[in-house]
Amino acid sequence: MKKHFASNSATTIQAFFRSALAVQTRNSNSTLYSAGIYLATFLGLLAATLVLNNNLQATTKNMLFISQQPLFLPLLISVSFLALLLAVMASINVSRERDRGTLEVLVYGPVNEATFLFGVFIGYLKIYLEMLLIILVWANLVTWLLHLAFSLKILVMLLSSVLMAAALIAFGILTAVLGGKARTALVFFFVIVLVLGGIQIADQIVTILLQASDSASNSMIFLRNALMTLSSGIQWISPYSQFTLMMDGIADSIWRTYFVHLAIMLVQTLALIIGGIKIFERKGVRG
Amino acid sequence: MKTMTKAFSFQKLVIRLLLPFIVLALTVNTASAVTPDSNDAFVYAISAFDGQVYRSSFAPANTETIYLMAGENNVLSSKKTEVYFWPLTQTYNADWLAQNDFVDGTLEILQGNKVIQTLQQQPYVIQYDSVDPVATRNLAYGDDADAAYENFLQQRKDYQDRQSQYTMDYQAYSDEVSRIVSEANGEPLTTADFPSEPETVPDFTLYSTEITNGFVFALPAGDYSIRLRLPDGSIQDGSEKGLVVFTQLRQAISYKVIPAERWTAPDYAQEPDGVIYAPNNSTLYLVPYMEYEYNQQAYQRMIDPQETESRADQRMWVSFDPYSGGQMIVLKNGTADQAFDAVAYYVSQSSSSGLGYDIELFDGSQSSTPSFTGYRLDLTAQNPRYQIALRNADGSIIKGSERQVRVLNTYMSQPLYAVAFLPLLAGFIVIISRRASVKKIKIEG
Repeated sequence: MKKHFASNSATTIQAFFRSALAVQTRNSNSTLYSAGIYLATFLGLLAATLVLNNNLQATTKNMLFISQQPLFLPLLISVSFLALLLAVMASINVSRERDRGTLEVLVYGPVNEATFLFGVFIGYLKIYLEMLLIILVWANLVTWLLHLAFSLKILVMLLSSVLMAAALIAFGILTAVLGGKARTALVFFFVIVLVLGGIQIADQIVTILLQASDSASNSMIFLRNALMTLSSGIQWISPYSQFTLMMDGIADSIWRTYFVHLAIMLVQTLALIIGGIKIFERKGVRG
Repeated sequence: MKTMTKAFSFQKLVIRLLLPFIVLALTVNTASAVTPDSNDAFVYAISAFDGQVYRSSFAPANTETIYLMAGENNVLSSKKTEVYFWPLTQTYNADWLAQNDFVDGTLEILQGNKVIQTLQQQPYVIQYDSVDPVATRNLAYGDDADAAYENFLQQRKDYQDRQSQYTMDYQAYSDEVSRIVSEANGEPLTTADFPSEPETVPDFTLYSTEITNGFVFALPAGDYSIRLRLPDGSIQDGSEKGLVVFTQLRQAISYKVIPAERWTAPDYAQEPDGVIYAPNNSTLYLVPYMEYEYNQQAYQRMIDPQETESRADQRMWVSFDPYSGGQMIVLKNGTADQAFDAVAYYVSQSSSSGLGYDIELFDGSQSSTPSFTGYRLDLTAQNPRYQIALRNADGSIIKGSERQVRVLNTYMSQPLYAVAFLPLLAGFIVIISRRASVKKIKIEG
């Protein structure tokens, strides 16, 4: 009886992963064989190049540049851009499948809500890993071209960025599940991202305004305090903030800090993907 | 017309984007100013040793923990003062001029719930010479405080006497010069005809606080708590606080890096794994300093107990005294390839052009003291990379003194942009090979 139960569980798990891998292959191949993702990676690296070039100009002017990891900021820009784009793509993908009714057809087969979302998740994560390989080659070429010091921490940083991408993709999937239609899902996604990012930017602007003024109204001080509190709260839920904290840990070799934020991001990703699956199962493929 | 409409709509867009900021800025400038209300409160005045000098701060009621350095004498004073909240900085400030009263009592230091030390207030003074505060700092307390303060007063009186004497001597000298000139009746005079000018009195650079009362103590690293027991046996309200006594985490060497062409804009290489980059054919001067790493929050809050931005999970390097006596070595495959001693340099205004400086070897003719003492490194195409370290008198490499110094290929801007096209190249290859493989598929039947 026990043996039969164990054999049944193994078969279920095998079937789950087989279905999820099929969804993954379908999604990742369609993205991988289109020009968009390469263009996006190019744009991310172009932005990174602008930052690096700015460092070169500053070094020419100041005759000096001291840095622990000169590639960290350029790489942060390019991986954040790529991860955000893949999250948007995952969100559109899930909501479109539902809009068009193809998802309903899929669930008549061996695919269910959980395998579909998990398949989409690992499909976009696979694309991120493939693009990360190109970014890694770019980082090594730049290191050689500019005569930068080679550092294994670059590799650790890039590998850690997979977690940020995973959290963002899972977040994209969750917004698709919550939003239903593609347009609503995108609005959900961008509103949340803009509100989270906007609060942090507004916090900085108001702080600068207050510091620059001789006197301040009570309402401005209240606004600054509210933004400061919100901002420090957002730091704990924003994958981008968590990743930058992880990067601080890598740069200064404070591995405890690194692993604490790594664990937080892992929990975030799991919560987002499991939350997405549970909501999807409750709502059903027709919404 | 079309262009005008476009320009108009662009203006509208810019105004719409800027409007929230303009409103915010107007709110800041036009709203009524905040007038702080102050009230009488118990605080601890702190004189904390930061590794070099004593820093003054205070811990108001909202500061729950005081941070101090381990193994060094620090001073806490129990006081009543006027405290007001300053909204711009979100901190409490003390108006010591309005009120500065001692609160009598004994300071109890606890570890867990057990009182480990009971301290009585005692007089103390902090003194230093402003020419070199680090080397001359002195915390004198107990009976020594009176002696140190008396000595300071005596030195100040001697200075004032010398200054008065100089003023009188100079007046006499001026009168004598006037007399000689008037008696000469137009006859030519030489320097030998004049008396020598009196020597100026060097500035008085000794500083001393007035004798004041405080609890002087040094503790080993650890977590403690403190409270003030009043003469009636009760605990002073607001005097119970946490006390974190911290110590350095690591010790290393930092370098002040001075580019030969940018003497006025040096930078600091503090992180032991930081890399120093400079353009090709540049000369750098490296001045080593002792540095210690501390917990960021502990160190920052020792300087300012109300600081809120530091993080407990981060560390920071703090540079202290210049490190002298070491020998710089250039490492090759982990072993010393070259070694050279620190050299004294003098920086003078460039004579060849209106702007700029020249860094020359110090020979004593230009000034009584060199501008700095350090090590010179020339970065050339032949020597594009150095692995440097400092060696002690006993021949061992000082831990944390290793750095990489590298030529940065600053002329590589264009190839750098070309490398950014790598994803497009990869995408082109992937898509073309995919199309080729799809074309090869033959559908039979």
